[in-house]
Amino acid sequence: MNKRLPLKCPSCENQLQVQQLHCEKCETVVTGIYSLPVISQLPIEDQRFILDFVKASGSLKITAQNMKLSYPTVRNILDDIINRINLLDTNE
Amino acid sequence: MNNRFLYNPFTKIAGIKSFIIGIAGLIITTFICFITGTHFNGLLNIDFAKDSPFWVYLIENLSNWIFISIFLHLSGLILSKSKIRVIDTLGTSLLARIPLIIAPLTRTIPIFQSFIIQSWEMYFITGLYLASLIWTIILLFNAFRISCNLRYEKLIISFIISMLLSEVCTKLALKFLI
Amino acid sequence: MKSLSLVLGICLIVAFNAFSQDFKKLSDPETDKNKLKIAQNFASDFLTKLKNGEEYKFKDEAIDPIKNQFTAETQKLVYQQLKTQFGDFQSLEYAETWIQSNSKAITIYRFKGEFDKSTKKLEIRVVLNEADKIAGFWIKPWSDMLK
Repeated sequence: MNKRLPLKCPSCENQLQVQQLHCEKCETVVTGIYSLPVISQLPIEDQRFILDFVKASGSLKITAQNMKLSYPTVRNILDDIINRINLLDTNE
Repeated sequence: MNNRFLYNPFTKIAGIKSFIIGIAGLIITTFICFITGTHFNGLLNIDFAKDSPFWVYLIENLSNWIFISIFLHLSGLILSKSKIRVIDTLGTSLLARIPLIIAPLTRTIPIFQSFIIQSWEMYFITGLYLASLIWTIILLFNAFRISCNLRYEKLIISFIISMLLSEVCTKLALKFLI
Repeated sequence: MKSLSLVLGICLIVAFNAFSQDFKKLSDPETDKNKLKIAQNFASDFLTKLKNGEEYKFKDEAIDPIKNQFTAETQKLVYQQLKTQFGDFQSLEYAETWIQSNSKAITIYRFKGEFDKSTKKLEIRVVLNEADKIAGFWIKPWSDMLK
């Protein structure tokens, strides 16, 4: 099962941060307060789209073909993601 | 084909593909309008008169499409933050007009070719036209929303203004050209 | 609910149909060719005379109110208005015939007239009464609907 990375606090809706990282091999545990990178703060569908877009060499036309969607639909998705990234940047 | 595709095919089809399908639809619609004598004097008007040469029906259908496309694209250029393409606005608004073929197509049935005013034939054809017009307006709205990436008030207000302006310009152009 | 809509729909169609039963369109074989010729000759002669600047002189082909209505002056005025708006009369082609379904007292002959300044054809309507006399004559924009 693919576990979804929780982004907001279920209690107060605030942005969550990373407190602990763990090495599976040597069992080292790093503790501290780390902010999630902007991309990780985006919804999973947006992250998937960014990966598809990068794999298509940043071509909206190829991304649209791969996703079986029209060009303006894909462009609109990209523009929405850019808006969300800008919003996250402003909040940070 | 699911229901969503019937009122919003533009998530799958836009650009040159919608333009080619739309042009084919426009030519077929115009031809059927010519043989049945169905005039579209503006988007919100239908008239039944087998009284004109082919080019008159072509001008009517072309001006109905071109004016609404121009105003929708201008709205997009002014209001949208996305880099919109003219081929998307032209193609999707052309594809959105395909349901308007229903009324002229029905008029190929002999009883609908000439009839008395206020007869059931007139109400039936007008009813079909109204249904296809509502379908076309929904399609046109979705075409505009997707090709120009607008939302909320900007989308609704600019769509209404574009419709009104294009209706006025189409009427004036038809008066001047025909 | 579906059957109710169907019943309502049928009632509506029957109601409209009953309403529109006053007139019936005749098929080509049903049309009386002699009466059609009377109507066509009148319309054609009338417009040709007026186009040539002459007066159409009625004999006994029309009822008196028509003769009284279309005086030489009215004829000139009507044609002048037509010419200004649609140009000179060119030709006439037969379109269809309608009769009053119940009484059959009148027959409506509809022709499409071509005028040189207009891309659209006009309706030239001639109405004949039971005695085959001209009882009505109109020129107006063509419509596939009988108005």
